[in-house]
Amino acid sequence: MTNQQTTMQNSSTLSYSAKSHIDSSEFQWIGPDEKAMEAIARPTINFWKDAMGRLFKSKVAILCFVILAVLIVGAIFIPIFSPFDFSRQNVAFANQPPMWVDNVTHQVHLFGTDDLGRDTWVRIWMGARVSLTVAIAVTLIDCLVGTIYGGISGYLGGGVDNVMMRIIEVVGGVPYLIVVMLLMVVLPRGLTTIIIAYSLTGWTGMARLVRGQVLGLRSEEFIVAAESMGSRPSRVIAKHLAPNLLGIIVVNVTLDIPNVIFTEAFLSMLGLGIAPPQASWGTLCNDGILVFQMYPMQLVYPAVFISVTMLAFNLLGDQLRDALDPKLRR
Amino acid sequence: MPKQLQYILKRLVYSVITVLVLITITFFLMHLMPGDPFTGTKAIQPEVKAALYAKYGLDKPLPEQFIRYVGNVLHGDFGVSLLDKRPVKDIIMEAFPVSAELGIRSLIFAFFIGLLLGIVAAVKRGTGWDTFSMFLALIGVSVPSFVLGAILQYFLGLKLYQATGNAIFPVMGWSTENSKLLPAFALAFGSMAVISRLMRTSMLDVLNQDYIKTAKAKGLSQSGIVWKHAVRNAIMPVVTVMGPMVASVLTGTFVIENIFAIPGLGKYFVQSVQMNDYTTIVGTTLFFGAFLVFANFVVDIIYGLLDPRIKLSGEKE
Repeated sequence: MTNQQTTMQNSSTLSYSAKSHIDSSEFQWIGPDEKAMEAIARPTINFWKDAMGRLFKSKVAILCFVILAVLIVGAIFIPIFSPFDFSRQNVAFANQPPMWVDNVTHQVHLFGTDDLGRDTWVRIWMGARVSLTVAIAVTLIDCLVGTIYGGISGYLGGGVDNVMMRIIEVVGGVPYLIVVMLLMVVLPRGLTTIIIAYSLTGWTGMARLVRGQVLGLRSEEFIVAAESMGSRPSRVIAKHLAPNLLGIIVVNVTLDIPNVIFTEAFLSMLGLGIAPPQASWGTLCNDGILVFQMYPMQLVYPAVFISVTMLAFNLLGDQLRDALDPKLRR
Repeated sequence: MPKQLQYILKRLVYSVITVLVLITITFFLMHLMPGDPFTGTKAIQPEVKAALYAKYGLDKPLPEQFIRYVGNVLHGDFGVSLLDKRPVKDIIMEAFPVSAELGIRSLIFAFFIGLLLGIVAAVKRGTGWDTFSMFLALIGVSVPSFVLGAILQYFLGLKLYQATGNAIFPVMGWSTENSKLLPAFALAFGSMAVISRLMRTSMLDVLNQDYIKTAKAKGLSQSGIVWKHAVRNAIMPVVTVMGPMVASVLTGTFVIENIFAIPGLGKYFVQSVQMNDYTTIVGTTLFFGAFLVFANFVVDIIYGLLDPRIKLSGEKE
């Protein structure tokens, strides 16, 4: 009603000011169009579309995506299509320089060969398979366990939260690398062992983070409103909590992956990596350091691959964090 | 201050429980390991074996063995090295001070250089200094310490020696001051990068505060503003990461020691991994783990005392 009145007032002042030229009787009051008033003029952009739009505006982020895509595709296909087998030894061709052409088969060893005459280029891509598989598997397990644990702890609160956080305090207090080192000594060497050993204590960081977020979100009005309208906990979690947690989880997964790659390389340096003839970037670095003084390239290649991958994930994580930060939302 | 005392006690209890958990884990891992502590290269006669079992209590039921094991460990008895028949305790006593020295040198290096780079980058924001510091930080977070160590060893150790004819930076060993520089730097670089990035962000935040404007308005010099007002307030986030950083730097000594042939714990560890010397592996890791827990405890206490805003009960209220 008030709306209608003000509109009428407006029309009357309008007709008054333009009295000399136009007769007000030519105009007719048609009333406000309620539908048109409620219509949303701009296309709706949800949070994720907005964030992704901002992410892809950044050249750095796109570059990181390209690098990671190349690494993953390369790790899958290059060992399949290469003429060399990663474990085939030929001691006569040991320690050859990059771009070296085999004088029997006339095939090019792009990165040369290692101390057993194995092709370095293929070994690096086989190493990429191991290193990336470990990194992604471990991070996903950590993320899953951490989110569930932290989610339950934060959502239930009270005594349960108290007990669960005490457990985390102890588990998280145990030095992560120490446990991994001990486990790697005892369990048989292999991909599964590495993944189990890494994910045993790695989840506590994610659990702490998620618990803090859930605790904060629980007291927000929209959660209280949903609960007071009778939403079941499962609905509150799926519809209201999960979407708000996703951002911080994605950022942390991206920033955790380089840590796992580093840990794997670190343990390989201590002789606790994957068993030969299998290779990972870490074991390749370890082999490379032994002959570094004479054949520096054998360390440089795997080191560059590790560094570029870590850099790409770190930068992507930073960019994602900026893109997902609501404070930067325009 | 009862509240602070309460906080310290609480942290202490957690640390003790954590160490006990660590001992329990190692105890059960010892039992999972192939063979027993006396499976050596030579076959042992049954009577000798029985005597050894009795001496170390391996003929007793598991719970009793466990209690005995905890008792031994708490007395610093980690068993005897299978390799050279020396008590593991002696190896630790000999090697740990070296590792600790390397770790402490690296930490000091990382902390001060990182702080300085961060401050310069923030104060000279957008200039070449800023770009340089942040570029260094980016390299630091993506190049692993062992790669940097090997590269430094190659160029500053080997090539410089070949070029000048005298070994300014020895390639390996742990004797002269110069021989300690390269390993400490290689180990510190990653942490230095993290600290400089954190310090820069934190400084930029502080430099935009109103009290900095006030300080400027009342005519305080640039250095006065930076050192008296900005740095003091910006340093707290850096102190919060020092706990995990101490752990990662000290663990990092394991790898760096092997590259530079430094006779620390890490070198013994790798040696015993290669030789399947289980008692030494478990002894050194257990000791090192307990030390890390202790270091973390100390950092927590310092942090709690430094920042009066931290609720010392450790809970947000």
